[in-house]
Amino acid sequence: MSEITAKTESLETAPVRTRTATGVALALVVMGAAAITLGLRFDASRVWVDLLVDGYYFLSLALAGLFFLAIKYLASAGWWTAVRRVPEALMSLVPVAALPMLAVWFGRHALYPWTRPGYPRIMATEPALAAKAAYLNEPFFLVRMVLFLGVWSVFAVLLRRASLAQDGQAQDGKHHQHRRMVRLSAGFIVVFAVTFSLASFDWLMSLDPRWTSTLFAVHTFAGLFLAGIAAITLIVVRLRRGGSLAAAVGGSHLHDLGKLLFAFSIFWAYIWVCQYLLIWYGNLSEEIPYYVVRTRGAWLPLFILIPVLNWLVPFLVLLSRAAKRNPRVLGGAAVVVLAGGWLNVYGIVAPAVLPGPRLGVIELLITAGYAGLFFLAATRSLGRAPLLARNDPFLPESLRHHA
Amino acid sequence: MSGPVSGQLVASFAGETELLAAVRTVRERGFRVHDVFTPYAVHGLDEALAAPRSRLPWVTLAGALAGLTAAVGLQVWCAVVDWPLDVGGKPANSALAFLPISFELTILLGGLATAAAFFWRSGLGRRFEPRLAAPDITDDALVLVLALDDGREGEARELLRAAGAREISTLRETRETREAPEETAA
Repeated sequence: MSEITAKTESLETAPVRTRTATGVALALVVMGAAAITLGLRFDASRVWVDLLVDGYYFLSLALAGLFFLAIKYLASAGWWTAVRRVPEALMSLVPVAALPMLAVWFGRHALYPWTRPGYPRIMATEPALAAKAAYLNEPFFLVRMVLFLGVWSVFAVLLRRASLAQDGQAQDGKHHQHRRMVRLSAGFIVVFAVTFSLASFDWLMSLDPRWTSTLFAVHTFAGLFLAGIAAITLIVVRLRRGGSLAAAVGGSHLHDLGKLLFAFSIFWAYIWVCQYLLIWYGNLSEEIPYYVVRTRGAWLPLFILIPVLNWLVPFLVLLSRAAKRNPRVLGGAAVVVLAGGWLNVYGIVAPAVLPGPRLGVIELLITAGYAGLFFLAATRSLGRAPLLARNDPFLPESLRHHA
Repeated sequence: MSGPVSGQLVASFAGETELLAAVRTVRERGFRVHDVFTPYAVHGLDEALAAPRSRLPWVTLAGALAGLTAAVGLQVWCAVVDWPLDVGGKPANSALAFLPISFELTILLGGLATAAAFFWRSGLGRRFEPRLAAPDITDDALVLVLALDDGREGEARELLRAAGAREISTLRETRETREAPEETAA
């Protein structure tokens, strides 16, 4: 046990961000906010698309941290405990990411045709749309939005509180807190399955109120978890390079993160093909427009680029064992997947609203602003507790982990 | 004790710490470890033995590529080259339609090739006569089998005993001449 004490203490005071990094992140946030303010004045629908894409994408990353923790607690997994603070940092971003997502409500007329004046009359004339009117209306949409974001934030806050309480507990207390986190995780998994599916229907699928896909929520979930694993992997690699986690996280932990990234990249591709294949084969007039729009003209390069970044590149790069254990290669693959995850959301949202892809300086500035905000909030969360959860009952197992 | 020219020393250990220490010391002193038998996977043993990486992944890759080639080849030849089929008005060479079968055959042949190669190389399923070198080898003991290539049996016994061996016995070239295990104080 003395080995664990030594490792925990060596991480106690490790700084997670430099003053320069804080300054750069703050500058990015300011520039992003400026881009949003100016953009909304001159090119509103384009910027609302960006706000929905970034809001949804960064909220997905935060939720992925929460989901990652929940499944690890429910599976009684031991290997990951040395990196537990990293998904926890992502999880503590759920309330931070909920607010920008909530702001999308004010852009609803630019994004969702069914919120525009006069649309209820069109809805009433089409039986398929008329049946949706009880669900797709503005008051209920807002209620659901607030409810989902609120419930997720409550789970994130409760889990984080239990985790910090465990740090200060004696022998008996730490098991009590662990069981508490297992119960919270079980509750979250059930709630999350329903709420995240509905949130994906509301925020993304209803961009085209006529279109439906029964696989849609699986597709967005696969995107969420893949990008989330990439974010966790990238943060772990960065923390190790900075020396903060190097004492506790070895090649075996990286190897396992690499295996998860590799496996869920394949899972994402599997679901992506499933949805595309079924709609392409069926060729039904109410389903096929989704892919007709996305595979024509200027949208086609984006449509091809998305599976290349989310599947082909990480698949080929991470196929070998040596690559999964190499922090540089693994970190590089994680960056590619993170970019692919953003483009995946953009490829769902933008073709429904804009006549052609508009990826330029504005998108870069806004996304960099969100990333800066996330960096500040995540490093703040990482800095507020020891980087090793010293009272986690699985910590000794994780420190001895060998894959 | 004058050591035999060839043969093996069989040492059983009660715990993995002792076994790992023994493997490291005998290898440092120039002995060859013939094999190690453990009731469960011992972490760090592969590194201590300097065991080479398994070549099984290459078999998987070859099987998977064979499956992929077979699936794509069969479908393209059947549905595009030999007898173009009109399915729902779609072009005959609709690669997307070939994807499920290509995926499944890739996985299937990759998996079957891996399993077959594993069974063949490890000799599982082949008829063999068990030869129990140490009585507790099928129970809880962790057993190290040391090759006595150049004699030095006395030195080897000394090292194994110092590392904490519970029991050490000598295994001669042929089974008939196998000596009775000698009790050794741990």
